[in-house]
Amino acid sequence: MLFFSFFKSLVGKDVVVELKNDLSICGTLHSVDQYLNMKLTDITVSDTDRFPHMISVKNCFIRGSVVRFVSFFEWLWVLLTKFGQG
Amino acid sequence: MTSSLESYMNRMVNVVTGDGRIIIGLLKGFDQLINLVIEDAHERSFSETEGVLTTPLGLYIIRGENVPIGAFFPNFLALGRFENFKNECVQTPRRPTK
Repeated sequence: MLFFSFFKSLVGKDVVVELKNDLSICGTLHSVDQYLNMKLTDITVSDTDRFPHMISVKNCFIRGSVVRFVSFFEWLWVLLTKFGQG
Repeated sequence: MTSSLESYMNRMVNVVTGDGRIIIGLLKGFDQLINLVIEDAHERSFSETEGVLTTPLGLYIIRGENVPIGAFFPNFLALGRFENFKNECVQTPRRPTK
């Protein structure tokens, strides 16, 4: 419940979610549930060479079990987009 | 507040599975484990030589543990955008290995 409450307090903020398949998604946290499934809106993906199918996607639902980590530091996103291409 | 797929029901969804496959179709059902029922499913794969390939699959039930991400977008937008990838989309392994 502690983490659920924490993520509820992050709703509406910009977060970076990295998945276990190395896909990093930056977006606004729309909602979260008890399994830490998340919905993001207005998303962007850093490594579009590897994940071209994500370019046109604007909203997504992420199953909690596939999340590696969530970051809400925007500078991390800057790092990912700058150096995450290689 | 609760995160549910209810708002994606009967809409075109783009599902990325655990082995990296991309399945497009109409979301007809789901449960609390995120098992999905996809009507008129198509697998979309990206090829260096042939552009975007779409393979019809029919009605699909995807087990929840295999679903990393369910992405939603209006279908027409995706079709328009994906056709443009023919020359740009390279180096995408069809089924990325871990």
